[in-house]
Amino acid sequence: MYKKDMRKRMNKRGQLTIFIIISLIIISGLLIYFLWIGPSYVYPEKGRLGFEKCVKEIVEENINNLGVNGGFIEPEFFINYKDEKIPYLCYTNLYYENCINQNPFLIDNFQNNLLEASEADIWACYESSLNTLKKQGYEIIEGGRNLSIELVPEKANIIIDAPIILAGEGSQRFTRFTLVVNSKIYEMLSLATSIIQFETQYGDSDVTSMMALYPDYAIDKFKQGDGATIYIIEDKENKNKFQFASRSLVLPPGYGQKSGLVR
Amino acid sequence: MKKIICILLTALFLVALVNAQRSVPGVCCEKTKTGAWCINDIEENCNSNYQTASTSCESTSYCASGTCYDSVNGFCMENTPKRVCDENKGTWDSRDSSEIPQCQLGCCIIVDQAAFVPLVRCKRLSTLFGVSIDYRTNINSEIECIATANSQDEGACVFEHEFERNCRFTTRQDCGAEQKVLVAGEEVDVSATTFYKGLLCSSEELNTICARQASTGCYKGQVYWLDSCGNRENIYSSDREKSWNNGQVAEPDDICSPEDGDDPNCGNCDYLLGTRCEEAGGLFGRPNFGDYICKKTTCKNEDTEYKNGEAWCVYDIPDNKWETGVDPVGSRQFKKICIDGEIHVEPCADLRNEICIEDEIELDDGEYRVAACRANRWQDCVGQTKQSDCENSDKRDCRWVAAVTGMAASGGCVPKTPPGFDFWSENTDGTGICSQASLACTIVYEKTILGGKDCVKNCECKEENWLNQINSICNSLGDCGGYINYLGKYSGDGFEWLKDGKEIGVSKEFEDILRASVGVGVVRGMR
Repeated sequence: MYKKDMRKRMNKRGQLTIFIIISLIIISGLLIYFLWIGPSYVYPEKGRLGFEKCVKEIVEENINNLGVNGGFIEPEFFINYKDEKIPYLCYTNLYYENCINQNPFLIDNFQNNLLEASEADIWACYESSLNTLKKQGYEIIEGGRNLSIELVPEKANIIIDAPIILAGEGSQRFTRFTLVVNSKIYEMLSLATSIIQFETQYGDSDVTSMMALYPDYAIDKFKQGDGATIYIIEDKENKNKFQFASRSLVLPPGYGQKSGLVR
Repeated sequence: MKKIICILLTALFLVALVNAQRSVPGVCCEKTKTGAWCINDIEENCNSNYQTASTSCESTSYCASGTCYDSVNGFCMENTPKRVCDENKGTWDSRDSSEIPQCQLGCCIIVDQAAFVPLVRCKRLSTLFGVSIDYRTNINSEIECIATANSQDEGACVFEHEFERNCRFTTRQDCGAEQKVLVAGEEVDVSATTFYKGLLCSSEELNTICARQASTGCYKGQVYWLDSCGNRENIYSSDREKSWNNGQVAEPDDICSPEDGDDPNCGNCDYLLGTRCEEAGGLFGRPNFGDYICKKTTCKNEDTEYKNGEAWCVYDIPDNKWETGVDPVGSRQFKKICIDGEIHVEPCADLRNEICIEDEIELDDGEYRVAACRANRWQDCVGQTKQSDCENSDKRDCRWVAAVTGMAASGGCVPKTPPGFDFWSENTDGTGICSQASLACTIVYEKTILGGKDCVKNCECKEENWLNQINSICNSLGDCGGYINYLGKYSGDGFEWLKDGKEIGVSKEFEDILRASVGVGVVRGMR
């Protein structure tokens, strides 16, 4: 009788131990999955929907692409330089004349084109994260949407106004998502503006002193045969570029009498 | 009398013709077919969807130049046509920016940074950074403005976050104004902050969560210690205690002497001494802690060391041995600049319309080389008849050459750097300019008793040496005469050596002499 009781107790203890071991394995597995590996789906926590990385990547890529094109998605008035279309931001077709400004507000222009180039892809990121949440069983109530991008020193602020309510295990409300992309494009555009101001006033610019004043940027200047000057401003840290062309105070070949003053 | 009138009329016609060629072309295109705004051009080049006026753009209402002002962001841009300004939603003003009140510059202080901008721009920047506006109109220069920003009170800005005492190292103004700060990438509301002037966030008396000297980083060209919250502390030194300074802000010079690039354990980099904070590369010369050192900004070019900011001239000639008048056809002059340990190449304008000039400034620690590309003032050289006028370097870049046999004058004035011409173009000026070097040399012979002839005058004109001299003057005028191009290829298309109207060829030696006198093509890679 005693032996039988003992066996029963032993069985129960064994079962309990097995249960404890199994539950420990399951808990550690879950902990490893959630805390270390992380789930692949997005979940609405800490005021985020999980599309931030996607948006940042798009904006970073578009800043690089627009920088190479002088701030334009597709430059209209440009010079070909090493198989790239470099837009003229200041131009005259005459000899001995200073250039005429072709794009006075570079920062505004860049901002607008960055928004245009990124908008569709940013909303696609947003939609994708909402769809993932829907699949997880959240009910989503959406308001109107608005997207804006603002360039400020050392960063680009992406402001997504998209009021939504997530109704699920507990409802959550979001109104605005503010994302920050670190970029020195604002500084590079300010340098470009300064160069253009010199070009319009003096017909040339001194990039040596600019590089001495702003050592974080390399400014290269290449004068072309037709009198155009290609400027390439590079952020030394992350190698982003902003390049543009100018044609100002060009001297003609010879006296310029026979060839006239028109290029 | 009729003859005189006829000559006068012809002269007037020629002057008018030249002026017509020099004047601004026919119409003002609001936009050209290529996409350029407000260009004086021929009518065929104008975009027909936009306006065209038979006058210069300056005289039109839509393309007159002025200042374009962005009332939202506060930018002012000069020399902007009205049409371009309207297109970019700016406000156009015919006045110069210095006369427009909205474009007057002042010093805008934003945290520890400064910007010399108009008031509206300062308001905009302050809003974007979430700080109160600090705009100072009594500061009149950008340098003074930057200095003001650097002299602000700095210290620990302490605040509570999730029941912990957190901290940011910033300015007094920034600490008081911020309502939201970024903590580990998240925006945190900070309603109550306390500013401790001159203290580091890791200061023990503040009892914050930020631990001292966790890493190093660059800030304004110098190496700093950073605390565990990422806040800047004092200048990096391997003597940690000295650098920490009991948790108080210390002047860089009190921690270690300004660094000339020899000590990787002092972060007090000095841009003027030629050092700047950079990541340490390689195994040697690394600091005892962290990855950043004061790196030398000097450059090495062909065994010569150049200081940061130094510039010098380079030519399309071997060994860079440029002399007056030797520039081959198609060659250019270049300026090289040493910036932050890297050499940048800046080509001067093509067709030698610009030349590179260089000089040295005597400093306490040696010479400092400076160079610049500037306009080649060759245009009126040929017109100078006096050597003193010719060599007046304030007015022109010319040199005096001695006369050769056959020249009427005692010498001639030619450009120091011969200009290039568009000799491939039908409208080139080159032919006219080069023809000024054409020379006829009459050789006088005397009949001898035996029926032969003896040369008695200008006999040297028969020799190739004479041809070499006259060709040299020809070369000095521009892309004229027989010469080599920057690749070393000789062409004799630019001159003819005639005897009694029949062309005489030149020997191979003649070409070789030319080639040897110049040599070519050292800096072709810079194009």
